[in-house]
Amino acid sequence: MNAVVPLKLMIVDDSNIIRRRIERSQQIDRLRVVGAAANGREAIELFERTNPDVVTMDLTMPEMDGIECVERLVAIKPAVLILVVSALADKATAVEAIAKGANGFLCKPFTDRQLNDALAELLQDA
Amino acid sequence: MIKNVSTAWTRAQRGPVAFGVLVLLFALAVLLPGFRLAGRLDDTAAALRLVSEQRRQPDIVFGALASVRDRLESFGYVEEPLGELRAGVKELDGLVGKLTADPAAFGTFDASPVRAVQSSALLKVEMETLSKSWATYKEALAPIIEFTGVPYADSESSGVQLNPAGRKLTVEARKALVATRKETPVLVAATARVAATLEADSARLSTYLRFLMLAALTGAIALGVGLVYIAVARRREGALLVNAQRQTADILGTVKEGLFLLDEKARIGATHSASLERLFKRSDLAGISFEELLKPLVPEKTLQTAQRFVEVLWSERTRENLVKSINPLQEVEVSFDSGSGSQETRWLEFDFHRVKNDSKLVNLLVSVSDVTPRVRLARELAESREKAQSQVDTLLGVLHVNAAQLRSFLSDSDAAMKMVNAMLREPAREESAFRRKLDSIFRQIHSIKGEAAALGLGTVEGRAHEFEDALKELRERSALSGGDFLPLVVKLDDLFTHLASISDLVSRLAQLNFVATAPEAAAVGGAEAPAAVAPKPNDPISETLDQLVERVAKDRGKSARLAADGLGTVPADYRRAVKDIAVQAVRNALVHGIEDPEFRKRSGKQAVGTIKVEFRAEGAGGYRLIIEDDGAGLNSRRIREAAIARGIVTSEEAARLEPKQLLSLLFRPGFSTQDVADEDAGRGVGMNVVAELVKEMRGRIGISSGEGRYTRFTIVLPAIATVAAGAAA
Repeated sequence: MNAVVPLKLMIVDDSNIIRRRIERSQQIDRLRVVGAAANGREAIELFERTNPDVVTMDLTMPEMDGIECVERLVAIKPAVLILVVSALADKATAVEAIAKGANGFLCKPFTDRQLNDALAELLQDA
Repeated sequence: MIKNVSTAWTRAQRGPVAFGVLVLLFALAVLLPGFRLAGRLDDTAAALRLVSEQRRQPDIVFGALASVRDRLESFGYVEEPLGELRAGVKELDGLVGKLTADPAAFGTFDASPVRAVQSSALLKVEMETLSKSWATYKEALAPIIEFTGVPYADSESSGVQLNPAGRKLTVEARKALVATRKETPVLVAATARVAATLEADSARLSTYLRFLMLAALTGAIALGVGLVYIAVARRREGALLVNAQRQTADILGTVKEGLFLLDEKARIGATHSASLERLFKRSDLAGISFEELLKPLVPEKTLQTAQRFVEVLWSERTRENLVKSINPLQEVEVSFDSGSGSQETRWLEFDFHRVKNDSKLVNLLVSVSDVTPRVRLARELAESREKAQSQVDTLLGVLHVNAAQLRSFLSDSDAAMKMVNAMLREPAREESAFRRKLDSIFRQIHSIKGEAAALGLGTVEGRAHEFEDALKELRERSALSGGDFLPLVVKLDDLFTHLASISDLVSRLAQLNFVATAPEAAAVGGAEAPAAVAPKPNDPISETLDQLVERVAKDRGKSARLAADGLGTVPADYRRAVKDIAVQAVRNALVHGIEDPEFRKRSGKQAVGTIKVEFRAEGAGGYRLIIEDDGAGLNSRRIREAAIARGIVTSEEAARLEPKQLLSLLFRPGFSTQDVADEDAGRGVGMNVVAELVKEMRGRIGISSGEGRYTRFTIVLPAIATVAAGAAA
């Protein structure tokens, strides 16, 4: 099941913390980070340029609503796998993101193990 | 379970249909050959009857021929045997004709002898022999049969003589007799053989028919047995079905969770568990929509999220695990009208499962359980954890406080709390009464907060601060009612309990000798006090003020010292009020009066500011309390601006005020020059509290200030007896 060619990963988060944590994750063998965006607008631009297979996205970002961003990414590439990261209290946003086409959900704050599990589950669909 | 029942049903229905087809096939299999056999048997019987009737006919014909010859020879009456001969020939002609005619002349359902002949090869041969033999026979008889007229001639001379025709007839008859004597046995034998063959055929067909009947009987018995079996099987399946339904009903009636199905239109199915009605306190659940179920119980936003979530569940794209992790109804707070207008809050947990039939999503199974006890327990646990933490904080705080001061604080606070409690209970109807009540409570709590701050009891200070926030929020409301005070009771109880737990802690620590039981034993906090501060007056008010000065100065980056005098002589009845006034005034002096050390140096002052607090007895049993700092003094411009900004006076009014009147604004409720409230100042209650306390004691307060040099508050208090009378009023 392990992919020989690593999948291209784009990280959308306004802090570098998640990026560093993903790079430490065990799943990184199967992923290659092709870019990081700090807001929704940048994310769309970067997405069109790098054509990633997997996206992790913090839903609480400036510039563009995370939900809208999910919707636009899915419209550009329906097969993309999106892991949304959101606060536990904000289930409404998570539900909406999943409805709009996101494939996984990770609630903040999370442990490295939870991050790893969420990525592993997301990559099952790859 | 439900699935098993449905397959039992289709099997039960398939059985009778197959059985019906079987019965039909069986009927065809028996009836068609039976019908054919019966037809053939009928044909054969008809042929046999025909042949049997005519069996003696050749002999009769031969006899009649012989009789014709005899009569001719004896000149007898020849017409009678001739007639017999003709009739016999006709009969035999008829027989042969019927057995060889075209079968189409007979109707399908008529018995047809010729069909019987034609269906048997043997009979056909025999019939040919018969026909041939008869043809020969008939040919020999033809001249005799065709004879007409009289064979005799009657004359006188010779009597009766044969006439020429008679003679010819006699010759023909003799010839025919010769021919038929040889042919008759052949014809008789042929007829007998035809009859025998027909009999054999008939017997064979009868046997076939019997076999067929036997087979039909066997088949009918088998079908009968099958019918009985199916009936029994159906009854058993029916019983199983009833049993299964009863078991389902038992499960739904007993299970603690509320169970129901949601269809694609988010409607609740016809069946649900009995607990569901109990959980939702309604019985009209079947067929209503999920929205109707939740709408009266949860906020609009939760409802919308839940509906969206159910939509996501129907799209099979998302995995079950993922869906579970975003379930917005995992622990949802619902409130029910519990009859008498009051609300009952419970926590429900909704769990969703996809129900598939032949890998097609057909329903969502929703299970609902009441998790109120679990949630309450979790909350209590969190609370007690917090409490334990706060106890540790309290303990650490208490360990640093002088025991005598602490006891004095605790008893003062206890009294204050009782007073607040009494105020809350006091009936009030009008808006103004509510406002007065609020102000009084505020002052009490504020003084507790001040003292707690002075003692460094952060946990008490924090609670009092929260209480103040709640009070402030009420003060800002445009209209007040008695119900608004209810939350205060909870907060009061919290503070009260906390103070009680400190008391408890102090007495337990006393047993362990951590905190001295008598004032003369040095307290932990006292021992750690800076040695630089000269001879320490050993009274609780001075110590409180000392600590207050030290802490607030440190917090504000200022440098100041307290010069207390005569505070040990304050009479017990005044102690609390004097302490409250001094704490408030000293804090004000530190926050607003004393300048930064740098600023002071630049102004040619000593870097360390001085706050003087003096208490002394005066003539006629009165007292005088003076609080003075060598700080910046009062700035009339700032006072005016602040008073206008806080809506205490209008700018026109402020412009008309004389300097002395302007200073008195400091004592008005709500006055503050600080924009953001912190623990030390900014709520606009400080000097108002002082003024109110002085008023309660029937005292007077004076203020004087030199800009850039000092601020001095002078409070004159009457003798004790007067105060007692005033407090009672």
